[in-house]
Amino acid sequence: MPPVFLFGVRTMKTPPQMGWLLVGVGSHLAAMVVVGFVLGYALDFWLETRPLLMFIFGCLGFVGGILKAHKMLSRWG
Amino acid sequence: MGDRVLSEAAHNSGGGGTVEYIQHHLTNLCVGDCDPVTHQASGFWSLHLDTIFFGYLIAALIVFVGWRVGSSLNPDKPSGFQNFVEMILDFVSTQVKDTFPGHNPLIAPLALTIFLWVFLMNFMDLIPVDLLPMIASGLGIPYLKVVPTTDLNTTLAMSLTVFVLVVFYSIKVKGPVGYLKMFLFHPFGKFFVPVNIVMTTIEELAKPLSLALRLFGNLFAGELVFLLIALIGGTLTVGAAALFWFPLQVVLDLGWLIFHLLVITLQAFIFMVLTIVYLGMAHTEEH
Repeated sequence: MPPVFLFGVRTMKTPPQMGWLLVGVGSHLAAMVVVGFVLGYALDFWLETRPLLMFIFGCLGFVGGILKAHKMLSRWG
Repeated sequence: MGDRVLSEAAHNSGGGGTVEYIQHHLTNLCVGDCDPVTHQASGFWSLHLDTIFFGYLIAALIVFVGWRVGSSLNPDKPSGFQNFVEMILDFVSTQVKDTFPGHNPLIAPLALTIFLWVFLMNFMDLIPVDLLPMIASGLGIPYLKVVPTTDLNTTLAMSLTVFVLVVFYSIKVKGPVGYLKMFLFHPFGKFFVPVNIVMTTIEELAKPLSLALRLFGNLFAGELVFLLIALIGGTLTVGAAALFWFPLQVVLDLGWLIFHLLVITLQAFIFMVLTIVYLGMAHTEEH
């Protein structure tokens, strides 16, 4: 695959060996749930809507984490 | 608040020798906005002096050894240590070549720095848990936590630095519009833009958090197990019972030390490889 030069940095269309990401599937899933809750909590604190956004963002983090994990595992599994 | 109550309860209980021992070893030397009872950070401007000191000490050691090796390089007749350093360089260079898709002269030195620094900070865990705190208390320093990677501040600072680089290269390679598009249309397409923004933001922020928590969690747990093993032949037993428990402590400590040698190397390697992978993803045009 020919490399593409963009802003002086050489890039390629697809990553060659991203299999190492599988090492972090579990912790990335957990981190997404945590970040969702924390982000929702911070926005709730700001907008005074507690616990609405904390719940929604937490669920989105969980759903996103599962989707991401499934995507990574099905690509390299 | 809950922590303070628990800590005060442990202090007042009188029989909290083991609890006090563990708490003492897991408390940083805090200056600035620190709680006077628990000695934990209670505000933004609190510094963990021991973490900073050992982190910089190890960084200075790497720079000094690198300078010494660099100034005495001999291509015809390399010394044993030069061979060892070349072996590490070759190992990191191979990883970067295999994992990183494009070409960026920053990645290999960054990966080498992360690998060596994290490995040596982790290696401090193998020093006997009581040795340095005991020397420090002799010098009038009340608390000393010698492993910088058992402090979440260290691991989070490193992963946030990587995160800033990832954002920088993502914008540089994909362009500001391309980077924004990733937030707007990923993963559910153009009809769910608000959900996409939230989900991609969470996904991006989860990367540095998982990187930091993995390293911190593994090293903190490892330190805790060393402390628990140290308690077997120490505070838990007195008198003749120590004759039975002491050999057990030696065997367990040796076993955990050998196993932990694998853990510290693996964690340094994983931190380095995931840094390369995340930066590699920032250099590719598709998400």
